[in-house]
Amino acid sequence: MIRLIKLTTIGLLIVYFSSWGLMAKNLGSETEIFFDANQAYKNGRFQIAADGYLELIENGFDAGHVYYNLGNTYFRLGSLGKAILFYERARLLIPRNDDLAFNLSYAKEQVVDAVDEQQRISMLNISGLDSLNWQETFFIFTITNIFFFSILGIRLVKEADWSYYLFILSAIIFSICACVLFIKWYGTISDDRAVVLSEEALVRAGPDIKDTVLFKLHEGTVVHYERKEDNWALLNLSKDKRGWVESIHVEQIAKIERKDKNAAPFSERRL
Amino acid sequence: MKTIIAAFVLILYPLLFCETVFADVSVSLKLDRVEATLTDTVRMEIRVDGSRTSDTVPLISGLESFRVTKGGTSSRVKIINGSVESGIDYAYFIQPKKIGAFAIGPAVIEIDGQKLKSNTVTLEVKNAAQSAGADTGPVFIEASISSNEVYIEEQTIYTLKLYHRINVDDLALSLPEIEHVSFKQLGDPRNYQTVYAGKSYHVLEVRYALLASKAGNVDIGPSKMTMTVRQPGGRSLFDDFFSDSFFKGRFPSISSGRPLHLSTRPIELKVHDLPQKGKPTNFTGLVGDFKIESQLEPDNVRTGESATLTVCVSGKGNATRIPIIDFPDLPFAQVYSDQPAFETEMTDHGIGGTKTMKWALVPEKEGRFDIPELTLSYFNPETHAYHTLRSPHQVLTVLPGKKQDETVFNASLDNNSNDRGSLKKEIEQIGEDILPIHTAAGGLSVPFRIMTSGWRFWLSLAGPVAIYLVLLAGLNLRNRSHHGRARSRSRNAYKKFMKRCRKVGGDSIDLLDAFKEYLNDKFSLSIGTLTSSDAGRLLEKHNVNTGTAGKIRQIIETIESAVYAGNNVKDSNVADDLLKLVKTLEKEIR
Repeated sequence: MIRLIKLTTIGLLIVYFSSWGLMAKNLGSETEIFFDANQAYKNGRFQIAADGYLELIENGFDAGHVYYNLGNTYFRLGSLGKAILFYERARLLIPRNDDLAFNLSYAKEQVVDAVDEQQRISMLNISGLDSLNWQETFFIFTITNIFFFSILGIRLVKEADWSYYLFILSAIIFSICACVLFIKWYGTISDDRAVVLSEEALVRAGPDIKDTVLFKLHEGTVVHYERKEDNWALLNLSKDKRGWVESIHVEQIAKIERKDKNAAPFSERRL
Repeated sequence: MKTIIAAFVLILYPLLFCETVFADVSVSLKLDRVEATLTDTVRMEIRVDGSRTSDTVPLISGLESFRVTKGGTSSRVKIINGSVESGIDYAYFIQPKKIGAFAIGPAVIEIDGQKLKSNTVTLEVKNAAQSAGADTGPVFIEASISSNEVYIEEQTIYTLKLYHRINVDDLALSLPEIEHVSFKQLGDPRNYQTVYAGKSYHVLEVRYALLASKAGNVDIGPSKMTMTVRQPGGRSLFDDFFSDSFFKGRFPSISSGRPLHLSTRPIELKVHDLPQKGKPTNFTGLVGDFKIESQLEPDNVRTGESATLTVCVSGKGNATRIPIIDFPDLPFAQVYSDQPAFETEMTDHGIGGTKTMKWALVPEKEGRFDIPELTLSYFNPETHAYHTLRSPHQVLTVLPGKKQDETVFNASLDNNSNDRGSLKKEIEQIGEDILPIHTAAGGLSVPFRIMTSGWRFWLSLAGPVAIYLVLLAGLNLRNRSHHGRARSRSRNAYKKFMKRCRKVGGDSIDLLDAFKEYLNDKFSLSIGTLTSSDAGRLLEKHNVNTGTAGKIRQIIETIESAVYAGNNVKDSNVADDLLKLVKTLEKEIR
């Protein structure tokens, strides 16, 4: 029986880790698209570069550096809103990148509206977890998870003093990491930030074109997206600054809407 | 317990350390009022921030006209967001001996060998107030202004005093709303005791700076105050308890009292227009008493380097109207202005402020140049005249640039390496743009992404716990099977034997019975009666060393003899020997 359990465990671990290798995608064509898009950017053909990066993202290569490059491309194209949107998305994946921090800060300086971003301090800001991305947090948790249950397993067959103290230590580390993972998960799913993409967006008292205009927002302003009704989105800047805007004017940072699948692929549009 | 103490030490030690190392020590002097009568006792507090000990008690100047009584010393420590604030407060009660305006302070105190000075405050002592006829009652309100005739934008102090001999709470104040007149509160309300018309009152005093922006006669209407008055003798023990700030608002129905509305008498204020005679052309409406200071740092530079001219205009009055001074173009230097900074100052005697303006001067020519004086005009209501402030005279000496004087420069660096830092130039930002794109193919991969997608995510999350549960179930299953039970019984035989031996002590029958049970458990047997020869044979059958088996046989024989003779083996070493032999037996069987 013990032998069966051992074999099952080893088998599962082999399947798990070998799947990492099997899952590694063939980066051949994607690398080519990436390099071509980079070249187009360097040659000043920014729209072509943007199409290339967008195709990579559509194909699932939504890495932080691709979002960063896309942010740069839209900045060069004069779309400040989209630049900030993609910089913010890049920040979710590469939060400690200095280039990104600089460019995002520089882009935000160009925004017309003065919105205090600190008005909502999330748990992630307080705990400093915004410097880790979701994948890194989950990896740390997985390691502690394996370590903790390994110690528990050892204690089933060997109840020695050293295993007891190791169990206490691993239990503490595991609890901390579980809390951290929960905070990170909650922070990620409750990220309701959105960016204004249009040059000027009229914020109204209700979700109708006839409703009173309360205030105007300008391109690049980061707002909180409460909910959507038909083609209208309810935005929230502060307690006394809420209103409805046509949803085409804003796009959420954390919720990514895929583009039209019928669009021609970048490989066919390359020069 | 030791761990808890160690944890406390670890937590508290850095706090103590922080206080000692980072504390910035300052001393301030404060009175509980700005006006007093001859019958009043004024509380004076010397507040030391940043240190909880001092080498000497404070020496306070200006107390010759007062009777002084010590009010005690208290130290305090506050921990807010990890930063430690500590200090010591010296309290005194002073009673005026004569009327007049007295400057009290500074208080000088020695801390760590360093003499620190406090600020100076002014106390105006008047004759005791007399009731104007009718009895004022236990609660009344009084308003006054420091001057009934002012100029436009000149501030006058509007003081509201609530006198009460009985307890009042839930206070709400509404000031009169007058066109072209604004009120600005000066500091927090003050609480103190005074004697009015021969009766002792608690006083709540609020001070406002009043500014009129239009000439004419202004009728300052009544200020209204509403409150709840507690009837003397009409309160219970619970009223006191529930009127505590902790319960306020939580149990409104428990506290009781009578609502009271009070109003002040209207006051007339005459506002004069500013005189046209002598009005400077550059007058911008600044009214009060102001001064100007300037500093050129450094006053000795090379061409191409920058010097900073800082000009501060400060004073009492409508300081928000201090204008940004225009700096003229210089024929010898480029001038770059900085964003001016403004800081409001509020004292008991009015509002004021400081505006700081800075210009960077980058000389292009060598020589000694006079910095043009900067002027600013204001109207002083005390002198009833306009005045013009002029910045102090400054001279900038410009040396040749770095390239022309390279030899001298290098030589001076060799002579005095400390000058190296001061001669270095600030890096100037010439342009701004975003940083370039990332071109490495590694940018396409997301580390650990694979773990957070699909079934790997769930396996990473639940796999370890699942494997553990399977292991736990398997072990339980094994322990329940026949072989498992036998193995478990065999494994626990020694522990069980030892436990039983400790209990039986030296009783021969029990000792023999314990050993029989040990053998039964160890070899999964069910022997009813055990003889020494049976034990010897059994052990040899299970490959136990002949010597050990022989020794065990002898011990059993000894115990059997004791059993048949009706003795016990408490005083002999038989039990100990048996335990040792069983231990050896365990090793040999394993």
